[in-house]
Amino acid sequence: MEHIADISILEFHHRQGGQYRWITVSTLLLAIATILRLVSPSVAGFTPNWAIAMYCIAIHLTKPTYKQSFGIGMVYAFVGVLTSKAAFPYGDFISEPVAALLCCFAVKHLDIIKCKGHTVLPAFTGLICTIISGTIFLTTFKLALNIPDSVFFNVMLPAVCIIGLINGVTTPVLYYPAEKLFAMRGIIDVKSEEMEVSDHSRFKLSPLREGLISMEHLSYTYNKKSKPALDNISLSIHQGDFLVITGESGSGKSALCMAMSGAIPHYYGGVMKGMVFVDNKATTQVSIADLVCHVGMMLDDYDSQLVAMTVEEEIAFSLQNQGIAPNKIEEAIEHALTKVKLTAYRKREISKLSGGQRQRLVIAGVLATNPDILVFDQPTSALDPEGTRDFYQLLHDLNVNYKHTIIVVEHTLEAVLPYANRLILIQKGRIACDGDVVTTLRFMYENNIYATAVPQVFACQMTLEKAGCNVGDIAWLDLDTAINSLKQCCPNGGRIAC
Amino acid sequence: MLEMKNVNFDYGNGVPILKEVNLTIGEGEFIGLGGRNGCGKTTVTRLLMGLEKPVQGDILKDGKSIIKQDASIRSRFIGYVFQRPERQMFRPTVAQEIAYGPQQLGMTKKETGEAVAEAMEAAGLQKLAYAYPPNLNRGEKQRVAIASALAMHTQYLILDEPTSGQDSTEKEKLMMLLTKLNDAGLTILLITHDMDILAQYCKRVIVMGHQTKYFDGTPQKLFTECDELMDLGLTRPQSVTLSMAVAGMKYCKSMAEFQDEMIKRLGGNA
Repeated sequence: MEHIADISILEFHHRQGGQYRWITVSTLLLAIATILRLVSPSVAGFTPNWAIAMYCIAIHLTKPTYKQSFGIGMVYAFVGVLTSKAAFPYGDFISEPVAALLCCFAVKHLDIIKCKGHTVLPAFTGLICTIISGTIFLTTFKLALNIPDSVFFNVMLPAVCIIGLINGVTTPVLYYPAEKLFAMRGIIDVKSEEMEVSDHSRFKLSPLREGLISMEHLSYTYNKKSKPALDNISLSIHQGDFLVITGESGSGKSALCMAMSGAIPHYYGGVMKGMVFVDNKATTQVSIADLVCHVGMMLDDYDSQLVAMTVEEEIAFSLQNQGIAPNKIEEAIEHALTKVKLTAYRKREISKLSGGQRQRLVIAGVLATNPDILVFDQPTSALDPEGTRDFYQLLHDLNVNYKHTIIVVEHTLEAVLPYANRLILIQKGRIACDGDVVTTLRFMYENNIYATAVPQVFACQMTLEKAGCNVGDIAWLDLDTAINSLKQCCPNGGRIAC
Repeated sequence: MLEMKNVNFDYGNGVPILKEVNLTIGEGEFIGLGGRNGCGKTTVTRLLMGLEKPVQGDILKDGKSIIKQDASIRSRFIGYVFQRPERQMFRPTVAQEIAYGPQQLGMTKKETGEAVAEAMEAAGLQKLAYAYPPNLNRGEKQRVAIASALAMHTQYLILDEPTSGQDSTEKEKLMMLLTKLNDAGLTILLITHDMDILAQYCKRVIVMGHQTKYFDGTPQKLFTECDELMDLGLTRPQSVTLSMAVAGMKYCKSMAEFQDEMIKRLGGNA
């Protein structure tokens, strides 16, 4: 086992996908080549060889292996033979793969050919591949049909050279727009990215801090992004916490949630630095399936988490997947439904539940695997004020009576703060403030960071304090507290007291 | 002036949605329309717009019945911003979208150009003239819909829940725009669930309840004197609640006003 001295520089890379891109791009261009071939006009009897130009472009764009290039050449040859008007088209089966391999070689090794700093490779391959391919094709043609030497050398070969020159122009002219178009649509990457998934199994990793979850110097950058979504975050979450995370849209709140559940880095691609420890285990060393038993998560798009037809089937789903015995599943369903107060709806079809009930069902499904920690990503964005109040009362109940640790990402703080013991403000991927509710709210107000999220009544108290008014020492976290303080500090409407 | 006289409405299944609704909308008013979900707020505005026909009763403009006029005719004097403004947009750029109404009115190219430029300026959309409407955010889409109405020089503007799902900064921006337009003479009728907006920006509030108009008066009267607030699905704005907790404090329609008032009383320096 390798020991890691400084965890902040340990990286985990995860990039997947794109392995079939060469097929997508080359077949798309093949279709275009076939159409162009049917419609393109000829200049003095000469037309560009669109097919060769297109597979050269495809090979330039996707940089396939020799084997793949051979395949591209064969497919182009096949379509070429099917649509050819020539008397003996079968030479394509030799000429196209050879030219494709040649182009592949040029792309891999001849990138040094430059003219005033610009690569001339597309023009070069367009020219050379066309001439080579044409020569091979015509040679088979000559042998098969017994064409006289004079015709072959004086007419056919010069014609090949002229078409080669035309293609030497056509290929780069088409290459640059094609590159731009594919890059814009995200089909090819501007910088070449290869598949890569790091393996941390050889490291000995253990947390330096206590806590159910310990994030240590965590940074994370999504694939194709240059700015990190999370930037050197260190944070411990303790048993029994009711933690609220807030911050502006795009500040990294959701990424933080995803890092707790292991979706970062196992599901989302990108580069993670530092480490997240859940129950003292590094998340890069355990699978998402293992983490589910420690961290349960409700996504902001919670409907996407529902997979079954009825309430009980839904809760049973994750347990069945884990291979739990039927009688135990029965017990777990009962228990989970009791916790979220949905017992009466056990046989109900999910489509007949209201939004708030579906949300509670998702929680029940998550609770069935009995995780210590429950993470909620913007749970109340689709609920009305009454529903929001009920929802947070439920979370409070889970926190206090069932001892679950609760983590909530929220924009609207008013309803959740009465139950929270800790509030974290995230700004541009960093923790701007981590403290009890009053400390963080005060920080937000005073530094004007995401101050619009500070509850109105609390902001009012801050403003009054700032203006030098004495409005009591108790923080106005809800309306009733504010009313009581007002009654105490200005019993006669403030006139006599001050 | 728009008037609804003894309007009854149902969807043809005998379940009454509105019974005997009487209301008037004077020129230059800024009216908030509130009430529970399903109380008929949107139905009232759809009736005014001509998107629904009353089962009984009459709808008048300046004393003349407009009940026979289609929504397309009424759109010449009433602009309507739907809850999802993207559903009323179908042209490739913001400028073309706004130009659609004036073109339908038969304005010349020059007049249309002027009307569009004016409307875009009023709604602060100059920078987005060539943007593709579906790509805009909700607040921007709403301003495009408002500009579309302005370009037709409508006298009335109806908005269905324009601030739902927006953060407080965007909300304030929209309300400032509406206030400015109202000051310039546009009549505004706004459906909202947001008590702070009713209190802070509306000069008059109409609350629908029990299938009819249940309250019609100033926001101050609604929030201080109306006993059925909860029944009507409304709550008191926090600024009003706090101002009522302090003896002798005047009615404060916004938190800012309450703060100023308190600072005056407690002798702080603002």
